[in-house]
Amino acid sequence: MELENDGGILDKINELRALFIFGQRVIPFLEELFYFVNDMAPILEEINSSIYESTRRIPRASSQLSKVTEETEVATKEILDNLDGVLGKLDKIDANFHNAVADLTNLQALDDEMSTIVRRSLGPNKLKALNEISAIQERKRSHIAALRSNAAGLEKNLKLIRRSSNDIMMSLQVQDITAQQIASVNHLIQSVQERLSGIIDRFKMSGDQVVDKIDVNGDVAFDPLAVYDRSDKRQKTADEIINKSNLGKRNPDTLRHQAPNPASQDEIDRLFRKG
Amino acid sequence: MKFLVVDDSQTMRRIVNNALKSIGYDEIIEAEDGKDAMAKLYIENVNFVITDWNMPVMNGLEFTKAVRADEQFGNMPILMVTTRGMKEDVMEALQARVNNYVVKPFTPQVLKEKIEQIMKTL
Repeated sequence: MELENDGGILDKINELRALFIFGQRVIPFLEELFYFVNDMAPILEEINSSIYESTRRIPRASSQLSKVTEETEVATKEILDNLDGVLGKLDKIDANFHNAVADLTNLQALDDEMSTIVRRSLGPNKLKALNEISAIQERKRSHIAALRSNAAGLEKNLKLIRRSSNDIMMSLQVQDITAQQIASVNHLIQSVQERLSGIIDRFKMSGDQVVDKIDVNGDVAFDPLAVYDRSDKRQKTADEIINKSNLGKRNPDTLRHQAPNPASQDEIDRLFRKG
Repeated sequence: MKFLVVDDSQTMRRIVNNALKSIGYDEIIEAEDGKDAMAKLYIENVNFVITDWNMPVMNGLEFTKAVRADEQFGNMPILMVTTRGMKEDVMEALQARVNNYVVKPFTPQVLKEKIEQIMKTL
């Protein structure tokens, strides 16, 4: 019995010895760990404040992006107003121009009429006067022809100005597309800020400092893949799908049949009978 | 023919409006989202709808479905004009039963072509 107890004590002593040896080995490691944590603390603090600073600046970046959208929208509106003005003036010029061409035709007709009267009044004896009148009339005709030719050139240029104005207007679709691209980036920025704010909250970083939330102006709907692509590649893809769907051949009756039809009384009764 | 142009972007509404005028359609009213458009359908005598897809409150797809489900306007011609140009988008719009599809940026010529295509089928 005593021997058994002695053996137990020896075991315990051995365990204690092993523990001391382990302690001796671990202490330097713990010391190192302590120094490491000590060294890391300022670095972590620096990372904390860096995250906080970045997060704090995000709303400003986001608001600047929103401002870009607002300002381009204002500028686009101004361009559209000016283009409307140009197109309105072109309409007036067009109307005046067509009136002028009609006046020219009327003038020619009146002139011919007057010439006939003068010829009749003078009679065949006043040949010299008649020849002079004919020469003047010929000169007049060539002036009128020149005016007509100028008018045709003017009409062509007016059409070109109108086409260019319309082209500029259609190019302004870029404003809507970039607005959607900016809205998409803003949405991304907002998500990043939310994540970083979550980290700051969790670790209670930077004392009581609070990060401003991004102020989003109302509901913004956007296509994250919006792109200003002037080629007709995407339109062709859409056309192919539409053509394959046979939609172009649909008539209103087809549409009517596809509209959700209210259930008939028989159908409702049948459903209830099943229950 | 009276057009209803639905788009949340004022710029786009003006551009579509001008494009329609340039191809000879003068009677145009506007709405800024699907909900607004739905209300206008009931008070205006609209013959043709041109709608964007991405809009707040009620988007173009929801609006198309609402129009199709409406007994009074179920057969209204609807042309979707949108930046969304992926195949899946076109398929989704077809499932919502738009009559045709135009990808932005568009030209007045494409708009004219699609309107005429739709009108031929009615």
